[in-house]
Amino acid sequence: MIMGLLTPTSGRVKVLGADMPHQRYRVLHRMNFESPYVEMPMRLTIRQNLTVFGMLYGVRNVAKRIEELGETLDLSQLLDRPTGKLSAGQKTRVSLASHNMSEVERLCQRVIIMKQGRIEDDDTPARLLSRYGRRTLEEVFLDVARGREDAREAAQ
Amino acid sequence: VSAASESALAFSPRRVAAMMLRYWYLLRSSWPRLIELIYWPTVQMITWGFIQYYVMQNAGFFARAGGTLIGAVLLWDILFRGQLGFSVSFLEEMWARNIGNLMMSPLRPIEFVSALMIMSIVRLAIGVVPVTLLALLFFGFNLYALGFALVAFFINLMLTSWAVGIFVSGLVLRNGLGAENLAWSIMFLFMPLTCVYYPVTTLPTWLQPAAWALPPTYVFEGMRALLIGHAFRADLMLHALALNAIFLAGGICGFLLLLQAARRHGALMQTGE
Repeated sequence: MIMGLLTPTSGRVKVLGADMPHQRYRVLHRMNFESPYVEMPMRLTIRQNLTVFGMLYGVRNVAKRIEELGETLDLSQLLDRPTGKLSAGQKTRVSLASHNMSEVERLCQRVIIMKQGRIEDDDTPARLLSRYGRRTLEEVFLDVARGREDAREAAQ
Repeated sequence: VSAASESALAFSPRRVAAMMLRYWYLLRSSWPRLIELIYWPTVQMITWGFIQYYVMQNAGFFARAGGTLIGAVLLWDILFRGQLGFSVSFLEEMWARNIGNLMMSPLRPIEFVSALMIMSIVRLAIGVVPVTLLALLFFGFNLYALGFALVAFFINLMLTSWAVGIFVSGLVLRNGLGAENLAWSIMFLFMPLTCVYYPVTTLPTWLQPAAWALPPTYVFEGMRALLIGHAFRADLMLHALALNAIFLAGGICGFLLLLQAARRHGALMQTGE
């Protein structure tokens, strides 16, 4: 519903001020979604996939950007390999908006953790770590997922 | 709304180019797919070419009607392969489970459909152009000698193939790959009614209005008028064009309604069977 793939039966979803899914084209170029259940097309190489999606999202200098990302995420050796031939670990690295929490910690300024359709927490990675008294976002995520609210209370 | 947001709202040739690039990469990555494009048109043309050769030797009428069977086969292939070229590019997204990725990207449905239309012409060119050259080499039938008439036939057949392709894609989007067979078979529903190999007058009188409601019927009648009577029937082409406008509008409306229904029912997230 947040990405506009599903029309809500009731209620409204607003993203960056746009009503989803009716005004989705105002904001879709600023959003993306990554999960272990969504894969990139298997038969294209990683470079080809990134080129196509880069163009769809209006990325400038796509070829240069792919090279930069290849170096940042240590993917340069894999760029010309078909996506379907990657190991599970390599696929995870390929995902630009990764669900890998250490990358979230490194790349994101704001993290929203949801549970059963409701926002459980919303803050910067540093403040989340401090609030839960944890060293990694994986641990914070597990605290929320397993309902260990006491971790947050104890830390506070 | 920022300037970037406004530009994302407009039709983007770059996004259309991105999708064409994707299909080009797919075609390039698989030689069996390239062979498949040319295989059936060649087999069909050779079979019908020999049949025509045989009946020309045994029937005075067909001797005068030189090329009508091969002409019909080649024009039928434009119609059938045009629709298939559109639908298979779409099905590639379903097979790759990529529809969800595309539908949550800034790609607009009209850009997606535009890319599929252009790719249907590319796939058709790869499949049918070599076959028209073989028809010239083996049977002395020069499709290109039809000149302007060929352009009129081609435009009308492509418009019909897109209208059907768009509608079928909507059905697959809404109903999943369980509806995939429609993409391969729906055009054969048109075959007897559009009178590919025989004049409309061959049909029972009560069925003829149904035949005249389909744009390709006018093209195949026009082809026979040209090859047998040596007359280009512009009136038939204009009728076909008007009907195609209705078919195309219907196909696009159907696609958008089915896309909306797919969004309501969560079908975009479950694109399997």
